[in-house]
Amino acid sequence: MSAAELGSSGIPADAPRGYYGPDGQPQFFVDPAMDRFSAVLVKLVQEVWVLTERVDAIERVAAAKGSVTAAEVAALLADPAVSAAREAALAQFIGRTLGPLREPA
Amino acid sequence: MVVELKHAMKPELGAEDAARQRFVSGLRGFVLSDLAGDLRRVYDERVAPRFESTHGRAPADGDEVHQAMRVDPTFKAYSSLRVTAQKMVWDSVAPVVERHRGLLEAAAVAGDAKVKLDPAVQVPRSVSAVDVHLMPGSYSGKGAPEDMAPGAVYDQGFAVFSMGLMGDEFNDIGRSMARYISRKFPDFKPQRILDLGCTIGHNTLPWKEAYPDAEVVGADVVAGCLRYGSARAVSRGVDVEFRQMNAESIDLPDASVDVVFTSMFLHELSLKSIGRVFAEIRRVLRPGGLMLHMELPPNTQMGAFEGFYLDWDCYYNAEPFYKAFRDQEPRDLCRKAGFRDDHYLQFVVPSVWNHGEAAVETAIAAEGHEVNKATTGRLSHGGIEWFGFGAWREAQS
Ligand SMILES: C[S@@+](CC[C@H](N)C(=O)[O-])C[C@H]1O[C@@H](n2cnc3c(N)ncnc32)[C@H](O)[C@@H]1O
Repeated sequence: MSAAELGSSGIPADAPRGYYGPDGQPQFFVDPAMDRFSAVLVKLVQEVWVLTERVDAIERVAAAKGSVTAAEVAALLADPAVSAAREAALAQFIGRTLGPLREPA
Repeated sequence: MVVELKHAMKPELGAEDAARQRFVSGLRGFVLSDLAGDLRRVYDERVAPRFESTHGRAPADGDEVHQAMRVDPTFKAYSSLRVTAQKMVWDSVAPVVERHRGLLEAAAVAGDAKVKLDPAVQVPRSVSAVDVHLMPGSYSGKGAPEDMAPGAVYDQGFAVFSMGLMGDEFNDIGRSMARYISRKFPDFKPQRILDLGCTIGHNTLPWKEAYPDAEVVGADVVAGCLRYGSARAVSRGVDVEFRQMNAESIDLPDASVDVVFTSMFLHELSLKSIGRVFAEIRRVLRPGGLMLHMELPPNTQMGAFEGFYLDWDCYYNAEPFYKAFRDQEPRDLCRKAGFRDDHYLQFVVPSVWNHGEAAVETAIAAEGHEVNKATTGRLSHGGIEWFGFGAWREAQS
């Protein structure tokens, strides 16, 4: 299904047209291209996070053994302590990168 | 956090899948807790006062709040991130599901024995033509009708989407509802329970656990989801039957069911369809049987801001029927279907997963039926309650 078809079938019949861009997608910013760019930005932040986890894995294994194997990196996924540390780091990471979107205190 | 699936179709995640999914779940937490909190604050501090100084009164309903909020930068940030995060939920699981098709079909060997498919059942356009909650291909997917992949996308997507707030088996709604009913009505002993629009049975299985002697049937229009749901149930060792049916024409005899349950189902139907579904429910219920719906709480029982907050999904999350449903008074829907007003039932139950089983008994003792504005029907880290309504079928017809 194309974006335009999704837009027209997925929105309520009485919705004001101005809520959607010419592509039928929700429009929040003045220029609908901004809505696309904001998605790009968030995806980019996601990929930075992916790299952060990978580097974290390499550092942990390297610190323990002085060398790294793929299996060792994968094994970290099953370690609850590593998961907890990553959850906490992620919350800080999101606050740091996406913080400017928030209402100033 | 991302929940680990607890059955035979649990996928192997690569390091990048896991990191991507963790990010999306964290992003949703940021949007639904931090930005949502900001949204309320700018409404109180900036948007509502401006509206009042222009109009000489407060916004009357969710539509007026929505229009006033649309120009605010916090609304734009919240909304744009929420749409993106929703799409990223599905993006983060789709490639994993593709890699695991073999695993799904292997699990179906046992599951298929407990599924009754009916090739005559057509998937309605409200399911097939809308990417419901922005899930590409919706519940039915883009492949063959019996393809299990959409069921897997839904299940794995839930693991990311629910942020750990809907239980380790995403069954919190079913558990909370079944616990409420079994504790509130200890003498009620249903023999047959039907869950309409069950998708993959997340909230069907808890009914078997609450009423082990009952025959429990999950029904949906989508064959692939039923196959996935059955494979999941068999793998969990829960004895539930899955049947392909349209809830508008239930393939069961008159007066043959004690409980007809739905969860998060009605808001995905048009009002016309809801009328037909209620008539069918009434037909199949035995005298003294119970129709029970877990749903979003209605606008008629909430403030303008809270109504706006929930109806956001209607406009931006491909839930085209959501607001029309939420604008109804649930008691009226039951009355129109022929249920008696004095047999109407409505309650708010604390989430068992988040507040513990004892909280349900406390809620029953307190008879707390008021819709708690900030937390009912909404996923955030501040506490969760579920709204239920329905009606008893009168003892003799
Ligand atoms: C939001 S999901 C329900 C979620 C599920 N009850 C749960 O708690 O996990 C809606 C489901 O209703 C199904 N559905 C939509 N229209 C239907 C109909 N007329 N009859 C039966 N199922 C239907 C869809 O295929 C989809 O699986």
